[in-house]
Amino acid sequence: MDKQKYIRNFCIIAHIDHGKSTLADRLMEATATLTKRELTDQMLDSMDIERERGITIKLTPVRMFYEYEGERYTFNLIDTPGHVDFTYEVSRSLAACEGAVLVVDAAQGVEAQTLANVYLALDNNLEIVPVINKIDLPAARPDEVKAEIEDVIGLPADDAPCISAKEGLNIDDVLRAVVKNMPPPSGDPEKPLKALIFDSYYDNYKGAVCLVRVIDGSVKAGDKITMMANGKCYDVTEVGVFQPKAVAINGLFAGDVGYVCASIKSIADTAPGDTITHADNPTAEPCPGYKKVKPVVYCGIYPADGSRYDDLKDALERLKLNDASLFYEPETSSALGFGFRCGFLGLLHMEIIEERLEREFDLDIITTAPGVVYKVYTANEMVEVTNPSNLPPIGEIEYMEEPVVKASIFTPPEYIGPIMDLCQDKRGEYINMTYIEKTRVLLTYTMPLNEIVYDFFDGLKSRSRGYASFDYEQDGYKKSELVKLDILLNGEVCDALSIIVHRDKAYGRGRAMAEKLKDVIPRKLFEIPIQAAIGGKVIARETIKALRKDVLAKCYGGDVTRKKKLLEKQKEGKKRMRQFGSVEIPSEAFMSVLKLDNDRK
Amino acid sequence: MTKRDYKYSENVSSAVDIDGIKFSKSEDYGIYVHIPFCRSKCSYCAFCSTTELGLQNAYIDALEKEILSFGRIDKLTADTVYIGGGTPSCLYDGAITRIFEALGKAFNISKNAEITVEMNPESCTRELLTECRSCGVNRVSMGMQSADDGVLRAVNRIHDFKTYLSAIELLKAENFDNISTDFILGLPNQTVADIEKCIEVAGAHCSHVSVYALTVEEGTPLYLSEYRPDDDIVADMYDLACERLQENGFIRYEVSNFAKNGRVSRHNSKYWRCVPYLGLGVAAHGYDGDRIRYSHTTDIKAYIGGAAVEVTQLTDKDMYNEYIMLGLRTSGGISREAFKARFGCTLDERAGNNLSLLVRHGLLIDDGASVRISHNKLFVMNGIIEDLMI
Repeated sequence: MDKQKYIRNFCIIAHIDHGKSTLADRLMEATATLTKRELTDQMLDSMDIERERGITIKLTPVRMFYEYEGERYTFNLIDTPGHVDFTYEVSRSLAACEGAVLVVDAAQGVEAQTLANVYLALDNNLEIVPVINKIDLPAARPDEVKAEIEDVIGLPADDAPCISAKEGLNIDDVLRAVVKNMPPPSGDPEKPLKALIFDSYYDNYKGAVCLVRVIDGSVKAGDKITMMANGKCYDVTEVGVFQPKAVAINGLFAGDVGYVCASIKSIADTAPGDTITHADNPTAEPCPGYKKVKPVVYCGIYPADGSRYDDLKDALERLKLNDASLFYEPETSSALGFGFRCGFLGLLHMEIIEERLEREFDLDIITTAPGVVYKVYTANEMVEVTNPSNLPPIGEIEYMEEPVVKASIFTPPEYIGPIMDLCQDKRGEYINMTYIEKTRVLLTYTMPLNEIVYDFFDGLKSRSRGYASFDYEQDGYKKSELVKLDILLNGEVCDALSIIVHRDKAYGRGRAMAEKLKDVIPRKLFEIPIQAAIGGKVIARETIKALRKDVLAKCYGGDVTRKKKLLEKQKEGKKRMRQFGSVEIPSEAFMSVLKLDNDRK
Repeated sequence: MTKRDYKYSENVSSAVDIDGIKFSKSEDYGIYVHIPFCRSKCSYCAFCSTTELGLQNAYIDALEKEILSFGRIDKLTADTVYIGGGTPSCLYDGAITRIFEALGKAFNISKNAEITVEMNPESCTRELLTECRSCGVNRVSMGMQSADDGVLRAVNRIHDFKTYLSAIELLKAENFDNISTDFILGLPNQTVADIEKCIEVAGAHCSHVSVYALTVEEGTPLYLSEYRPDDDIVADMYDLACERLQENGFIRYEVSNFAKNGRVSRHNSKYWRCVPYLGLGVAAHGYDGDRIRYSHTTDIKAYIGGAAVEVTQLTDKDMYNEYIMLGLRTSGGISREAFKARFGCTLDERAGNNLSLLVRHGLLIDDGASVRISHNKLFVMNGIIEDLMI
């Protein structure tokens, strides 16, 4: 019991770019967990993509030691993914803490994700310590931001440390506030083991490594444990902590944060939110709040070069090892050949996977338009449709439902008009508008997820010159007038270009897609009609005119080689295009129809 | 590509060995000589040329040396000579004579050889023509490019249409009757009327016309100006040019080349027939007619300094692809008999299914003896050639 008095388990929550990772680095530096030399910038974000984008995808807990008034405190800092796609993971890591350091940018103030994260923290009964960061900026206005925190969030912020993580200013204030304001853990080390899994990763030698917070009891190597969600049993091979490198220790006790290895083959068996307990002396109740996360955004992923299907398959398998939320299953397309239908937690998650496939596995991929999970009701059943090609015949469909979200948008008031237009255009239903202060407004809308998936972020950014911030949470399903829009090339439906859209949007989307395809599909010796159609009804048509000039000038000075190479290169280029009937479709064609609105502005 | 020795012939006495390349003596060669000097550079030009006319003496010295390296042991026979550029007509007085004297020493130039010099109107003088005449030049290629002064100015040509006409008059006065001219389709500000005027002049004075669609090469001032010709307009211009030239008695024997009274360019025809030719001077390319192509540096100073040629050995694939690409440029196409003689297998065996497919789609005409691109598809030949390439 006494030991727990000197433990603080906390996380840092912030809007993107408000300085969460930089502060984490400073805390490690100030507690001598790492020397300056060991600190690569933003130590906790270990993937290249995380560091480049300034986001956290995988969680990393770090143990630190801090001396205060003659006592030695153990700090367990649990980093959280800072994005809406990973809300469930965030909520699980918050559940592993007693407190949260809320970082707010002294210039920008409270933003959409600040609020979303605070609500999550409050849901988990965390003690929140606000911190005003970036006070070194010329535009810093710490007092106003403090007032904002009090008004908008309702947290007292008078004593909030004002720091500059970048400059290393007043970092000790943060450490002191953690000791003084956050409660220690209060579990019972004598009770049966109850440990919350808040994340896991795959290690080639150790298997799935569970990151856990021990609530009650203790765990050590040799213990027989069971996963309460699926009942599977394992023998613990190693327990340890991160300092920040993994270090094995004798045991983890109530209040501790660390890792547990038990030769677990797949991280599918170590789902965040699950509870570990002793097989022969189990806890009565698992930790609350466990749920299986389900993908909300789907798209087709195909190798640009059909012969690399197996490489793509291997790459997805490898990614899945460390990302249980990634879903994929084989699918075939008449236009793209063999590939995969993949499911993601959100758009960012999708982008990250696409980027990793290209970067870490050196694959050129073609992705189809992202879609959501539609519920399609026929006379006898409900089917969930993630691929437009799998929509039941129109005659059998009684009605369809689409997922909706509750969207929160923070913006300076001058952009309210354009943003409301955008939301309206995206079939949003206005809920509320609140002035947070004179210069900032919170707009709330319910909006179909499929509209957000299609180009909402970019539209918001351009309409607010980048000043608006945005967050959303899932808000169930809603009946909707949805249709399948097909694109016909040379009279044949190109399945990879089919999308499900709202009836009112179909005409505009169809027009725009046909126009765009006209620009990107190379001309052939014959005319190629491009049609957009709903059911059998053509709603838009463009024509790619026949190619009339495709010839090289003379072989100057007898140089034959250059021209031959040019033609050989073009021939190779054609091979990389998708042959659809007698039409060649370049990979860009599939990408370009995903971003129609931008080009039209 | 590396420089390497290649044994062309087992019997050394039947071949001439230059820089490790063996040239068979049983062939009639074409000789291309590159003159990389111009008074000013046209904005579309990506060829090897310079306006540093001060380099001329050193260049002609180096060229002479290269030419004479051929005559050391045994002479090859040439039945075409083509002095191209750049602007050969802007050379200093006497330079052409030096080149031909050297050629005369190093090669047996056939009595009936076709000997062409490229000229630009502004540098075509009576003195130059006299010099050319005495060197045996019997064909002149006069660069017109456009008959519209506005268009000429737009691409930084330094002659105007009047100067062009005077140059043609001068050629006729000096009894040059085998005159070729060339113009470009798709230049900035160019109209259909310009094309008609070009053809009118060519029809009246020339026996050979080359009509090239403008290629905007990367790095040229025209490229940087972001001007790009409209393919459909260029195609219209080409169709018009073909029609008018035909009305004027010209026959299209290659996609861009038209001849009256059988006066085809014998030199250029060697490129399309894959027969041997020598390339002399900076940036010039040569071919032994079999598996060796070679090229000179494109750096004038390096050439003057004696830079070695780069030799490329062709693979079976190269040989085939080149033959297809070049043969299909001509209106005669590819003769099945010639193909078999060269490759030892039939065209049909080599080209596979695509050949019959292209014939079925009307893109290729197959008359049994030869295969050629359908007359109205010559201007879109690249895709057809690519389909037949391996």
